[in-house]
Amino acid sequence: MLSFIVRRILWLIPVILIISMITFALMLSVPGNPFEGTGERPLPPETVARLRAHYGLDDSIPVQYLRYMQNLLRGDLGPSYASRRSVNEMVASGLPISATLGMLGLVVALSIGIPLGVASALNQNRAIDYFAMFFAMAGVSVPAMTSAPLFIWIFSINLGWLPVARWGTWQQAVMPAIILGIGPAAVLARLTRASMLQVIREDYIRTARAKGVPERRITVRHALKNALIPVITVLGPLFASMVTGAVVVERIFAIPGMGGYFVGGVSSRDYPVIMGMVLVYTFFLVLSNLAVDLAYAWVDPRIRLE
Amino acid sequence: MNTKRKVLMLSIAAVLIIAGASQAFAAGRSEPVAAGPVTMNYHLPGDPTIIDPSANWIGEVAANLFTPLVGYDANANEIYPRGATSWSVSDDGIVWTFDIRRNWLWSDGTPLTAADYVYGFQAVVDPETASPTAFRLSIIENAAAVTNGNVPVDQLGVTALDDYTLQITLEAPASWFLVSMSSIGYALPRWVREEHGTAWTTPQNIVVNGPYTLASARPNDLYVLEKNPNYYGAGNVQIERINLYIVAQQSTAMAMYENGELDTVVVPIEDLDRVQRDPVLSSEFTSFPRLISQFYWFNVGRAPFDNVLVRRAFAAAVDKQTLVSRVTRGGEVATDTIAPPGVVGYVDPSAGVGIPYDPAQARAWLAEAGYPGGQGFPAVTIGFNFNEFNASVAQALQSMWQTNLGVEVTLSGVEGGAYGSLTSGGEFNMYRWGWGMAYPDANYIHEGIFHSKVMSETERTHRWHSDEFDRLIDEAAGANDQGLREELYLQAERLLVQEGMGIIPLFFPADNRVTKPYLNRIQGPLMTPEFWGWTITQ
Repeated sequence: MLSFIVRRILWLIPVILIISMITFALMLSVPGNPFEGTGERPLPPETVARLRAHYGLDDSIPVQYLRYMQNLLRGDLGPSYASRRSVNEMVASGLPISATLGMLGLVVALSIGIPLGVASALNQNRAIDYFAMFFAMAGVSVPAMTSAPLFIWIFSINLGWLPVARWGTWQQAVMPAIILGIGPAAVLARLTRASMLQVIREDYIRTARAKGVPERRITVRHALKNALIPVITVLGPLFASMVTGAVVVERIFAIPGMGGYFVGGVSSRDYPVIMGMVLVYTFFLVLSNLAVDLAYAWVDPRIRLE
Repeated sequence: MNTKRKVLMLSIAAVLIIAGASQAFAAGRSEPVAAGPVTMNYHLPGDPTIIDPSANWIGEVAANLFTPLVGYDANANEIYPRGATSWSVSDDGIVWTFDIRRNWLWSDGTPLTAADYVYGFQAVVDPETASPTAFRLSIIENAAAVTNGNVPVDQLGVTALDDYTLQITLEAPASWFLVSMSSIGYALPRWVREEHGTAWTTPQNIVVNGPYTLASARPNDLYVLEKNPNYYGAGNVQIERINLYIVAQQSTAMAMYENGELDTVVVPIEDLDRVQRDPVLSSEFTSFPRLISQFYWFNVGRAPFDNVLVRRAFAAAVDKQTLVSRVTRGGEVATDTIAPPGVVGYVDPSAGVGIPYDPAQARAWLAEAGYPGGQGFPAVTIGFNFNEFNASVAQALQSMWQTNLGVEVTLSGVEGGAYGSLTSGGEFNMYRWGWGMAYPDANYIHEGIFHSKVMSETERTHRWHSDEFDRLIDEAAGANDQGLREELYLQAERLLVQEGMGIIPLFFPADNRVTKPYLNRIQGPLMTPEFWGWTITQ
């Protein structure tokens, strides 16, 4: 088990190397440059030349890349060209917020999605099933761009229960966590239902029933546990996508997470910010997948991680 | 693993998640609503990024933390003393002398002197600062040479004759110079800036001389300003605390306003109808033209727009009134000229400058140019930096040209980051542009973008320019008589938007805003709100 973890963590190195190379090359080949505003008067050429020299942008791409990786090894993500703050500082302030929001979203997704999927499977082709699957369909189809303003209108402006936006109190986290979690909840509900339907037809479930095991125990201990394996598979990417994909939710609810930095970095060609955000997201994705693999072994003792 | 252990582990995991979450909340906790100080909650659509007034355009934060030499009162159209209590200019208009305010302390208690202003001016043009605003001081002796790194920064024509006398020497007389000093040339605390580098504007380090101090700063979230007791006019500053909330989504800011979380916000276009119908919101609504011009450049370097008749035809085919009343619908003011109302050099429509909407005349010009009914007209592409607003304007223009001239126009919406280099390179046949005024004199727009001296070599190959236009603008700079200056600007506009037809002016955007009745906000036309003059009555 330990050697498995170590091996997987070592795998991070080539993954980060390849992703960083691709990102670096793509980023520098996109037209536009960081020292030029839109619709504003451009900086004088002498100033741009000085800035480019200062940040080493006149060197060839491989040289720039090597220098970046060297700094990265020292844990230095570089300065933002736009704000002159360090990218480390941006990650340090944004990541805990994005991660917390992602985690809360995941809690919402799990606590709605799995019970809904189970209820649906146990009542296949009955009203509960149709209702749950309608919800799942709606959850996948309605984007945050639509649901978030609707929630704000209902719960903040009309009912006055929750603050409109921003981050800092639990009340402020309620709407963004639900909006973020509701799409994945729908995915989990459908997945749990399908997997559950398969499992409850297995021989060992029939055996358990024949032995007189109470229905509730069969559902939770025997069926659900096995039905969860495919669900766990998607949890890793799902969580990573909730941390990284909360850009829209963060924007609508004015949450100072990583999303704003990422979008701002791309539109102003703030290379160190783009690189920093991509690497942090990569790291997150790889770690989430590792966590999923570890969770397999826990749920299904037959799976051995060697 | 047995069940009990699993339950235990799950519980531990849950506790960790909750603990992590509550810690993250604690780290980002909102300031409690204080009962004490008079507080205003204000909205910023984006992070101020660089606060140093020498290193960036002046935004809401810097404008309220630092003090320039003079102020400009838009309503009275008057220049009034701020850092300087009085000033004079030599007869040839070259040497300006400012008397710096006495008995005035920086927020750390250091006395403020003329040397602090000298340092502030030097910082703007210093190549090390790499300021986007350095060009604004290029009228000062040696400024351009300093920025280009050709002469040392202490050769700039700004000197302290003694602790309270500042002298500025210009390269040429500039009638607009004094009013331009209301938004550039801030005194800076050298000792702090040199000690902390770019980190000198963090709340722990910053030292200011303006009406407010920076109490706290959480990027992309909240900046808090507090009244500066050392400010010379502190007795007249009524609002003691200002929370600047950064909310990127305009509709969210609007909802926060309606929920009482913000005291004033810009109304998103999609909410304008609703706001104007609502009995309460409509009474809180104001619409005010902003000192911004939106227009389209022609690429005069290649066919078909190298022909002035074609350019005139395209201008006459644009129905700007319909554009603002049916398409943009945000209170924009349609225009055939370029300098915005409220600045010296604004050309009143009654002067008959510019090309008004006249489809018959447009077709006649196009036919005269060799394209009767649009026949044989080549494919042209118009570029704009993509957002919904710009796209809707471009689509409207496209349909007007197709209907009125019978020509095919292709639209090319480009992502903002790539737009600047594409347009400077002459990529499109026409392209969108906007320009906001940093001081209320048409010099800022005419010399800032249409004077050939500010164009790059490539830009000169495709942007309209003329020696006569340059001469008029240079002459206006030396004309202290406002009447003469306005006459010169009018002649220049006639060249730019009528005879030479280098651009099609479209409209001046409006500041559509709702403000709570208890907030008395002074409407200034320039970009930066001056919080120190606002009051709250409750």
